[in-house]
Amino acid sequence: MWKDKSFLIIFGVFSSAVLMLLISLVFGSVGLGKDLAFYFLSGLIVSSAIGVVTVPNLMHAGFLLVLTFVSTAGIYALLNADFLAGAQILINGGAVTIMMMFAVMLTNSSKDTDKIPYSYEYRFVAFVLSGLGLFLILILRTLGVNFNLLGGQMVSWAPSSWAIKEPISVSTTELIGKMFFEKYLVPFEVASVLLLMALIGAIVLALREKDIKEDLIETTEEIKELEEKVSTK
Amino acid sequence: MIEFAVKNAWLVALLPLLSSIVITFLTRKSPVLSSRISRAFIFMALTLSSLICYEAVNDIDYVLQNSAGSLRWFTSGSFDFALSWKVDAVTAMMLVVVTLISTLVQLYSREYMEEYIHKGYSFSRYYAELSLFSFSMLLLVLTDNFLVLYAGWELVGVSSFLLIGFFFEKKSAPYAAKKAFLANRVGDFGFLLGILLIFTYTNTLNFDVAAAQIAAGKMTGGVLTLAAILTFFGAMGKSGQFPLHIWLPDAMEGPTPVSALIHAATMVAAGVYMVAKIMTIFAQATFPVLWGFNALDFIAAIGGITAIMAAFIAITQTDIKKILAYSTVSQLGFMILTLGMYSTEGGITPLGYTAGMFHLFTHAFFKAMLFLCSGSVIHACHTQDIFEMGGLRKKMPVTAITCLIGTAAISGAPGFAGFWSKDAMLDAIYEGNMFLFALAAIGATMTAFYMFRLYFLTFEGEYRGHGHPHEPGWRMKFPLIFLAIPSVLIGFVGTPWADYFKDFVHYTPVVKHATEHAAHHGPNWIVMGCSLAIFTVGTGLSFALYGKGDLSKSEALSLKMGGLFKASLNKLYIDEAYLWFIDKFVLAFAKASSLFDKFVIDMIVNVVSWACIGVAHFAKRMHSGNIQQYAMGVIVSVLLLIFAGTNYVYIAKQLPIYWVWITIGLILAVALSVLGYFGNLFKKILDSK
Amino acid sequence: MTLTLYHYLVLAALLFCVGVYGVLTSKNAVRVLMSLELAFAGVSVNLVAFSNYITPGQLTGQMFTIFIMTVSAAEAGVGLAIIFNVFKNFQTADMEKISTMKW
Repeated sequence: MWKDKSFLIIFGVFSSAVLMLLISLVFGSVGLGKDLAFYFLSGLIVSSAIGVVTVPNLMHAGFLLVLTFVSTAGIYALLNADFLAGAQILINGGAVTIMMMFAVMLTNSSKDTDKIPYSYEYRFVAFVLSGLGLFLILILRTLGVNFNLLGGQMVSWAPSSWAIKEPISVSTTELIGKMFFEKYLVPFEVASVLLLMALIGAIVLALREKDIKEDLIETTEEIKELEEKVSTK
Repeated sequence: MIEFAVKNAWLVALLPLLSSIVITFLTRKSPVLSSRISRAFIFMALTLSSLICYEAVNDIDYVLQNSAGSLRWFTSGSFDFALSWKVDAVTAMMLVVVTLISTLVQLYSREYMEEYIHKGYSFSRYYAELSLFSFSMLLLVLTDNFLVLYAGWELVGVSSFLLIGFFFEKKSAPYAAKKAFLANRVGDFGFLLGILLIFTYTNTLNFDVAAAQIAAGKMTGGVLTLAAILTFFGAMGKSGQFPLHIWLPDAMEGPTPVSALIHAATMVAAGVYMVAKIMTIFAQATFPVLWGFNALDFIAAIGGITAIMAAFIAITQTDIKKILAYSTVSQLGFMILTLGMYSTEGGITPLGYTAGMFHLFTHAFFKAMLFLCSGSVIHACHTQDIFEMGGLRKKMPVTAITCLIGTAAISGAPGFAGFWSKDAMLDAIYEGNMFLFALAAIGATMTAFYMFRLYFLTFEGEYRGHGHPHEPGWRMKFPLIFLAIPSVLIGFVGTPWADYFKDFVHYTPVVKHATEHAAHHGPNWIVMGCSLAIFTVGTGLSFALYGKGDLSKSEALSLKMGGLFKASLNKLYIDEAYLWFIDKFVLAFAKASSLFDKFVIDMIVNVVSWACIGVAHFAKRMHSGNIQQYAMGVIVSVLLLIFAGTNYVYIAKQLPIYWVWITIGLILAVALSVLGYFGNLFKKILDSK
Repeated sequence: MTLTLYHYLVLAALLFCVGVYGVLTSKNAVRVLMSLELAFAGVSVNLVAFSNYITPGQLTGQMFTIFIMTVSAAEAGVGLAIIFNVFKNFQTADMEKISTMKW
């Protein structure tokens, strides 16, 4: 049991995640502790994210995804979003990732794909595009560089008004609950309908028409058999 | 009541429109009711226009001041296009003529058209179209601006088209309708161009204002002459002048009462009316353009050619309605010719203007009556060939007598209406141009000859047809008798000794300034002698050839005349000339155009499409089917958009210098890698063929 | 050195770009979905950071993050169903082999 790599990974992931959470929550009030937690968590996030997109084994990638999500939950906790942190662990770290795992296993693809990855040139181009192109623009824009054809004024709002404000600690759970039923009632309902649609859509897509028919036939035959048994008795 | 009529002159035009609408939408199913409604409304319009005319004769100043009105039709830019109307002397006269003849014709049609109901032609449609025609004609007459005039012009064209093609089961009727429409189209196009030219230069559509602007020098020289001639093209189409007259004889395919109303008395007079209404504009177009001709010379020349040509053709025709149609063309030619005599050297003498309008006035009565007579004859004999008639005087005395009166009037028998108006016309032409006078005199002689030929062949001698002709009922007789009265008497309003008509018409402000300079014009004894001679010669010849019902002499003569006779019988081959022209030139040009279209324009289109296909053959290989490559395309495009919309100099100013080099380096790396990858991809694509 | 908004924004940008790189280079369709989730997480971090620093106490960004989570869950469910279907049809989940969507 201890030799199982997967178990080790799972254990490592969850233990480190819980550690991080504890660090961020316990030393949150201390300035140094918070900084430390941020750097540690972001290092974990970036490295595990890179792992997600690079490790050959898909199952491992799935576990790393869980690590990413849980670390992100730690970042949320640092940002005074306690409810979100919990939801992140439950929904993304739990449900979504497990669904991914199921897909990996059902498609039986953890081994046969990724043995021959895309060509080196292709991956280089993708790296340059996403890592340098997009990232460069995002960072420059974040720093307040104005990508404007007409020039115009240097937008100076970024450094000054994004001044560090002391986060107000509020009970986000209660506030979110209130907002769901007051300000965001309609989006909330729409989101629930969306989820229902996704549920039905997923079922319809995953089940073939033929399968449904066969299922129906089988069940009706079973019911008939049962009826016959009941009547004979 | 008179005050009401004068102040609401627009009602005259509106009433027939109302009846047309009511018939179309409400009483379509019951023909008799439709006809009653139509007749009631047109009678109301007649009453109103009579009141207006009465007041105009009594006190023209009052009418001129109170009858004008205007509605804003639409606004384009800062210019308001008005739906305006105004009654002056000529308009008052035309109102009475149009409504009176419409009323009589509608009464006449009630009996004449009855036999066609049983053949499945809708009475309601007929009356709705007649009412529509009356409305359009009255609109045309009432208005005082070019745009509404043009609208009415086209509307009469449409209703004429509908009515000519009324017997749509006959093969020839729709063709004749189309021919009429197309021939009119040629003229109307010129008319529209003329109106636009005048509008461009004077910036107004009102007749009087436009004339005043032109007098003030806003439009001069060749442009003015060109505009006048183009405007006259409209009159050429509508009034059947020489090159465009071909539709009028064919228009006789329509019901005879329609011919009486539209193609004899009213619509074809619209061209003459229009020329008269904007006479001052024509009179100012004195700049010579072609071989020293100015606009009025052009008008006179066209009128003269038409008058003599149509008369020449009418001599040998055998179809009673065709003879009358050519006669109409000829008489309209006389009117136009006379209008062209408006100005003479050494000051303006508007003699031609009065004479032309006078003939328009009298001609409307007797020509309508002649057509109605022919309708009566056709109704009785069921044929239109005068050689299958003869001797009808004993069987249809009323028709015969009214027809004789009409023939006498049109031939210019002394004392009858036509005598005075023709005399006035010849007088005006005599003052103007001796050559044209000679032409007109010959034309008038021919008129007398062919009209009496028609009368003699139809009503005298022995009956040559089959069947049993008899006099029609009162509804058809009444209009004949009613119209016979003005055909005899109406001429006395304009005798050279006491020219009431001239004084009345001249009060129109358009020509007022001219009148004041015109000396009183007494009788011209030379011209009157000529008129008498013309009548005597024409009638005498006709009597000698056809009077006794003996056709052998005329046949012998026709054989002797040979080519001349054939030319006249075949309408001078003008239709054939048109066909030849269309065949040789229009179709050839069309073929050339189609070749151009096929080999040049189509080729351009094809080359473009081939190019598209070629590019697509190459570009489709970029469609690898790999979704991730598509996503990469999206990202590349987004980056390109951002980088293309970037002011690099500006960014460089914002950043420390080493950032610029880093950025440029990164951008170069991105571009090179993308290029390299896609270059590789292209190579692969090309190889994968 | 105190933590500023920029720290979080840079982290979010990194996470997002890693996600995009994964979407572009993964051979397996399931891994593409995973990478998409990474990109989502990057956007969420962005929003939560903004919510904390720009509008403290109002939670607008957090609400948006919750909706993003909802949508991403729905997307993951439908996406996996599609992958499952594709796998049934093609007997593979290799993105390179699922390329019949072309001329």
